[in-house]
Amino acid sequence: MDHHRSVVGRVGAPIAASIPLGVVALFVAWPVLRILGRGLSADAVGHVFTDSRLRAILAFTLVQAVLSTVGAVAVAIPAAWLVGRHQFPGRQLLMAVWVGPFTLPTVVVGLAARQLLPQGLRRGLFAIVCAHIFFNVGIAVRTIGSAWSRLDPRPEEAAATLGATPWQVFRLVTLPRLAPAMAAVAGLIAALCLTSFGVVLLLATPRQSTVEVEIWRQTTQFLRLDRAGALAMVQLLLVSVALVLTSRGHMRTDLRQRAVETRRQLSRSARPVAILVGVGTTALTVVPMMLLVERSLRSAQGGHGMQAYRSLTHVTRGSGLVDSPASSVSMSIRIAVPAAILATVLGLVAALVVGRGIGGPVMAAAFGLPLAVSAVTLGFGFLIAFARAPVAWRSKPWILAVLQAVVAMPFVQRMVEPAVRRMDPRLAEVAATLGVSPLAVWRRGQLPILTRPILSGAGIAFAVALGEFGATTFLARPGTVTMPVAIARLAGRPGAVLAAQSLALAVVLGALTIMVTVMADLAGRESH
Amino acid sequence: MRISIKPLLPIIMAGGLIGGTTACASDTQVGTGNNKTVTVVAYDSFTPSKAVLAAFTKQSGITVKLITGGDTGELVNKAILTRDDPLGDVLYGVDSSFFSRAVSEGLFEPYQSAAAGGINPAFTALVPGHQVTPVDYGDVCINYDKTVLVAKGVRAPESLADLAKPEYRNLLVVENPATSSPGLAFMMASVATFGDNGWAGYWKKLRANGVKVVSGWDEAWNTEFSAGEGKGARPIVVSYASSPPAAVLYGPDPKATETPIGVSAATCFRQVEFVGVLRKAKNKKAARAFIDFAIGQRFQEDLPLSMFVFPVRSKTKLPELFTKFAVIPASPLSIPAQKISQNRERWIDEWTTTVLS
Repeated sequence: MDHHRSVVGRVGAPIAASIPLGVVALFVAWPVLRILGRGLSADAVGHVFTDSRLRAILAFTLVQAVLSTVGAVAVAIPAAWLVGRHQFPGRQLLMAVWVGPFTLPTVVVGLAARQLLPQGLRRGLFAIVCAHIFFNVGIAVRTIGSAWSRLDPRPEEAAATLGATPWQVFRLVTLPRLAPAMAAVAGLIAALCLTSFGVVLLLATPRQSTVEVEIWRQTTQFLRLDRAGALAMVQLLLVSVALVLTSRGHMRTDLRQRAVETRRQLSRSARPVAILVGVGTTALTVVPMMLLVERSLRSAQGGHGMQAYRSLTHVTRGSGLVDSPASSVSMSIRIAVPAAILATVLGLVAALVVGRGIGGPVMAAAFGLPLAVSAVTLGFGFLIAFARAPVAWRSKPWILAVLQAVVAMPFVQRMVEPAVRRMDPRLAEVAATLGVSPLAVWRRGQLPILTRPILSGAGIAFAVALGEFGATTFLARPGTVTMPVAIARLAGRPGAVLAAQSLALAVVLGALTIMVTVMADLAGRESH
Repeated sequence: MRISIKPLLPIIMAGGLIGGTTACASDTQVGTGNNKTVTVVAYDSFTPSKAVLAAFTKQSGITVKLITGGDTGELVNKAILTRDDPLGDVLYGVDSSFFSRAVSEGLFEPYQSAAAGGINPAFTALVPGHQVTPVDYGDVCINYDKTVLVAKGVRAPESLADLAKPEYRNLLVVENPATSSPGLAFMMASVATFGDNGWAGYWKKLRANGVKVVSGWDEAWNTEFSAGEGKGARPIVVSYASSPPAAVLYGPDPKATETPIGVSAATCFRQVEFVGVLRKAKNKKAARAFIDFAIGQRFQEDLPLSMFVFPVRSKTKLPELFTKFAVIPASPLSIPAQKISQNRERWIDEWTTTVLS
């Protein structure tokens, strides 16, 4: 019996690992290698570091990413304290709303930034960092908050009885134990900010640029694949370093982290702070979205009305869209649902593999590859890698779903992985000694622990798939216009009518993703 | 009492499967890639009326499958990248800035349509080798807000040289030629006007005169331009000769008889757009039929209101909106395609150093 199980374990793990690895290798590594192979050379890479303009671009990329990451985590900590440590009505709705911005397409964020920020600050580093914080604070709160709920409160209580002030307790006891979660989410946010495209394109001054935007420029405008390839390599390196540095944190499992979340009621003294934090974070995330809703309701003649929403079902001539904007909604959903399911399955397997330490940091880095690769590079890579038989897939209807799934997979993996690490192996051993079969141990003992993060991960995967813009626009397919693409096209045309339509569609997109994220969270809710 | 997700799982999986299969099904309805389908690869703004495309299908029996891929530059570069396995049969939208490069990269198979006789000879003369066929044109011109200029007591600008004068200080917004097609056209207009040695000096003067640079047309028009959506601070902008009719049509009153937006005809730079059969196309017969249709009367008449470009076919009737509000300059600026192809990158680099550094 023992021998059989360990053989299954030894063989099963590599087989399981090979599925998501295979997908990443085929749909990410290979297209990227194909496009890099078209023009990469040692000279070109050297040029990146010697040319003063490219050096400035590199520096700006790093600066905006570091500031955005630090800012997002700093803003998230008080909010994570509120939702991670305390229980109150509407807690889950609040968390879902804070994640709303994550789903908005960057075109929309650019529009919102232009409305809200004062004249002098609408372009440049400040605008970019604000937009990035706006985007990412939700996932930071989720990750850190979830870790915080699982911290054993006893060390903190002990410190308090020994006379430490609340600030000292936080700084010396809580913060170090939250560090792995903070590092993990910081790595993810850094990766997203380093490869950020839409936000930088919209909010940078014409003098500023990041590596990702420069890759786009060199590829699409000049077809200088040597320069673009060199920059893509440098970007890959930067993001990999960020991911590796911060994942070393969560390689250390904190055994004192419990499998069960505990939250307490808000104490009277904490209430003012709680309200401040809650209102502040909500203002940061909700106000821009409310602004969009308001603008989408403005009618051309002044006053407010639902005209923009009604007109979504018609085709407006010269709008840049062949079909009605409403048809992009069904198109988006039809692609995002299979994409989310695929991403969840792959992410779950990846989490199980990495969470159990199989393959070490190299395996973890391999699964982070989709995050490290520039959207342009990936999209263009698809164009040449999947052009001919036996892989003539670039025009297939399902290729977009696969692309979105691959992009969303790392998010699911990162949501499920902490739960995998928390699974106590002794539970399985005890059950085995009591005669329970391995399958039943998995199904009744371990799967329930994973259900909640799997569902949350599926919700986030759907949000990522729905809002995916970069690679989707570069992968040209007939008759496929997803919501983010439609929004961008409508926003790029003259006239109040089309601008209002783009805002209305953006509101629909945001609302849809918030709804799905909330549903996914509620479906896995535990009673205690 | 825990909400069990078990009953939800089958629903979610079913939804996913349905979604996946309907996505497949919808694609087969559009066209099966057989002889009766032509795949047109075009830029994002390629939006002829559905009725016009339906007329083509009725007349020829060929269904049109449309792939859009970015703006002209991106489109041509994608086509060059996929030269051996092209994305479609027909490439629509190569413009004068990029057509020399596209032709020299061997993208097209020459085709001289029987219907080409109807095209204004000035356009067909641009392509002696018939690798591509001219299909529409547009002009990039300085647009200005009459109301604001009158309020400031400033005369409407009549030439490029005017914009460097002190009375136009801080009034102009332009797009970055590295990232914007109208921006590129305006830069080339300055090369055409002031020559290879003088154009950089002109931009130095513009910079000293407070010109604002933005990344794209959308931002220039909808945020910075005073007569645009955002009611910005700048009353002079680089845009198209067809912008006034577009602004009226999509503005608060589509039936307006006046517009505050004027066009400076002497600043216009002509951009001709071409359509061509891709060399390795799967269905060249259908591609040729599509080109014949595209230079025919029905398609050409539809162009102004669908895509805000002008028809190349002689004697095509323009809609009233265009005759009232659009400007068709008698002698727009232009540069030979070969010269553009050789110098475009160098010009952009020099522009970036002069204006942005």
